Amino acid sequence: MDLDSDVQMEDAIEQQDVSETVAITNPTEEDEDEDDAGMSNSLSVKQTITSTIVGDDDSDEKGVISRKPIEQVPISTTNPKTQIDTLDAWIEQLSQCKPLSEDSVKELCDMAIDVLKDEENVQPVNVPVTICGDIHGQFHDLMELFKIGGPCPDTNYLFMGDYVDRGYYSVETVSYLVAMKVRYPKRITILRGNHESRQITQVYGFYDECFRKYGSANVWKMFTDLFDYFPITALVDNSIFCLHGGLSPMIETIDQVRELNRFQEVPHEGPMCDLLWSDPDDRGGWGISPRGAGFTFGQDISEQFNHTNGLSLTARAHQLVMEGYSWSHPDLVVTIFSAPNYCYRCGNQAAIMEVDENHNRDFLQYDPSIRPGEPTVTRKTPDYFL
Amino acid sequence: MSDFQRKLFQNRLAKAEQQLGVNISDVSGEDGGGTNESEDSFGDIAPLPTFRNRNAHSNLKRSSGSDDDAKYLRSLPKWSAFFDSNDIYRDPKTGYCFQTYYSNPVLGETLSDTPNNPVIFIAHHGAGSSGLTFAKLTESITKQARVQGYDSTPGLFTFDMRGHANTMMLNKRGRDGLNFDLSIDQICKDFVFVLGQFFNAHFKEGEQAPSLFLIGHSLGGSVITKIIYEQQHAEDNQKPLPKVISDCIKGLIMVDIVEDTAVKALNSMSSYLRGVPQQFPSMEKAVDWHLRSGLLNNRNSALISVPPLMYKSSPGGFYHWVTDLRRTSPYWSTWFTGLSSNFISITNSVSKMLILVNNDYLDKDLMIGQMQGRYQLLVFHNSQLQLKNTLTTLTQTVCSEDSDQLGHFVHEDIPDKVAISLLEFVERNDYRALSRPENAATNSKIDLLNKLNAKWGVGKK
Repeated sequence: MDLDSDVQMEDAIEQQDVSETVAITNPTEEDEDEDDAGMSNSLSVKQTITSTIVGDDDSDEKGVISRKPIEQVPISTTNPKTQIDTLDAWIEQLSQCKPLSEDSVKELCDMAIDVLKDEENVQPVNVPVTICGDIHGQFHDLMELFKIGGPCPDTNYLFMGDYVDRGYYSVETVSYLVAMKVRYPKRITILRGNHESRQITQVYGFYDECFRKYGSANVWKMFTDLFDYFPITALVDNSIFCLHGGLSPMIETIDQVRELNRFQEVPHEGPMCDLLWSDPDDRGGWGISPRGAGFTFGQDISEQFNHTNGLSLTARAHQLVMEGYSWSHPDLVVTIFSAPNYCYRCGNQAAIMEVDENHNRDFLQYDPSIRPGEPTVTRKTPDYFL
Repeated sequence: MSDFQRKLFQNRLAKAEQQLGVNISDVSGEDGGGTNESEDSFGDIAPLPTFRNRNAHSNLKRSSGSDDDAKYLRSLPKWSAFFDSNDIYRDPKTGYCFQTYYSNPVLGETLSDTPNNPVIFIAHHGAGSSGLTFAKLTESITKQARVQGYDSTPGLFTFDMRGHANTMMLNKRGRDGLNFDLSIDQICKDFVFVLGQFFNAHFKEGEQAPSLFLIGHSLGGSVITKIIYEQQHAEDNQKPLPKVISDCIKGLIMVDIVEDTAVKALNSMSSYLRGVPQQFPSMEKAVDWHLRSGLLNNRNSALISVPPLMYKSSPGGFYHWVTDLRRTSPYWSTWFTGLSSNFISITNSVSKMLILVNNDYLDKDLMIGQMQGRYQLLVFHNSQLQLKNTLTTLTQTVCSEDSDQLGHFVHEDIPDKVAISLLEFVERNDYRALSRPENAATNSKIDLLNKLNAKWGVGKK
């Protein structure tokens, strides 16, 4: 059978981009000519795309897809006043879910590297702070998150990774968060998730979205190069250890995280990989993760890690939990997931965790935002399922 | 005929095939192989090859084409180039016979006292395909086990499912009605029967038990998932497999199947099948059609996997499909129901992997399961940069016969890459069975886990 039916719009369009994709990313490779013809002849990819735009926001959708040149405020990075004005203008534009121009993304990423390269592997964060999990390109739900949790910079935020892939607006989502980070570096912390990786984004949508919205892989390269600078963990008031995935058997103390060289692509194994991939488990001890990367860790491990490092809690994201948050081990680990109705089909609630000055914790749950312009894509069912 | 006699005969048959340069088992006979109906007849072993009788009733119009066709058929690879044996398993209750193929595992030398247990992939093909769809994968598993430095070589066992390829031809006379009982329950029963026969024939009580990894492509994925789900969740007296076999099952790999997509695809199946050519003037044309249509993308694989799908109804005539898929339509609605939730509900004692092609679409159950880390998802993508005709391993660059185009039959298109993924999956999840001594400071993944747990002063509960 063929799996092309009813996929997101970017998947549909991505099929048409394959030949370009290969040509751009692999310019020395011969035998490129087969791609287009091969694809269009292939039974498995023959398809009709019907895009139905609900509501009145279709200019946005079409604009995105037709790679309309994006108007931009010119920037001078030498003058701080201009810089802030520019950032504010970018944030204003992005808050309407309109992507920046390629040149602006370049400027933004350069500025972000300046900020992020000096952050620590274990970035210290003060209370009060609101801790958030996976977003995955669900831009409108991110805006909802800021409505529920309070606007940044009035509220401090800590995001635990996975901004891109799967949702329709990975470009706008990650651009917005990075712009906020550069504009308010002390007010928002953005950690790296396992999807902030070159390899993963080539499969799960961010690469294709960049290609579609900008006509080349340049913006994808800028962002994935930037991801190498993201801190991998944070420590809230020396008490709550925050990271995307979970613990690593190679890491017994938080100091050992500080010794890692994080400025690289997420490796396939080893401590940095584990921190971004592991999951807590009901079984004790260390276990093989069914995911194919990282480990599972039991309550005995969490007890030991939290005790050794004087922690009250490990907060992490990475796993979809139907109520948006979920306790493990039994209250040593909390999972926070901030993408409601994940990938527009999972029916889950989202949540964020507020931690106040006295370390009181409060979970705010929310449902998907209602917005016009959500693309509804119906596709021809595949030709065969044999 | 006793099993011994049968094997003897099959060995002789295989030798004769080699000498004659024909592929009796792969080329389906024009009339069901001229089998007679006495049980255990030699005719049940394999149908005669089509081209042997071509001169008997040669059709003038097609005779030169027939000569070309015979030449082409002789040039095709044989099953024996990929597998060690091709036993036929006969169900004593119904007389129904299954064509099987087996490539033996090879155990490496181990330094430890306990030898490795053999790893065997048990592969179930999808509707309209045949066991030989896994021929190139078998070859690649053997090759890559060596190239990647594993300490032993996994085997692969597969068979032609009911109503397909040689199994269809073996039963055409007298049991043809049984060929079309393709409800999911019957297909599952068939798999349980064939796996049981295989297990009993090769593994004796008290000997080292194998590690079994079940691979199912498309419909085959639905079959093995249903069986393992029922094994884990049914009452003791309802479990499909005996415990001695189910204890050996360590992993489950579904290849390119998502319930939601498959069910939607059923609506367009009839019109798709109407568009498929009903006959081909020669085997070469049949192979070419599979490649041109994009169904298959690797000619070397098509040469072994397409011929068993075709047969001639009359000498010198056209090739037709062995399996008329339109006749299976009454059962389609049963094939995929509950697949995704069953897959997700299989507990961790059986490791799970889902391989998809060109598309990471998951339905709701699979998406939640993936985001909860319940299984490994592997997506092969046409646009991925590593899809080249060479493979770079840790130590060297090796030639690969992989295609740079991918489709639904990913294990045929890129057998080397799929084989490497399967080996890594086994290494990761069944650490006792397969490891790479030179690549790890520890002998196996379980060594590593034990050492880690000891270091942390914790134990698995």
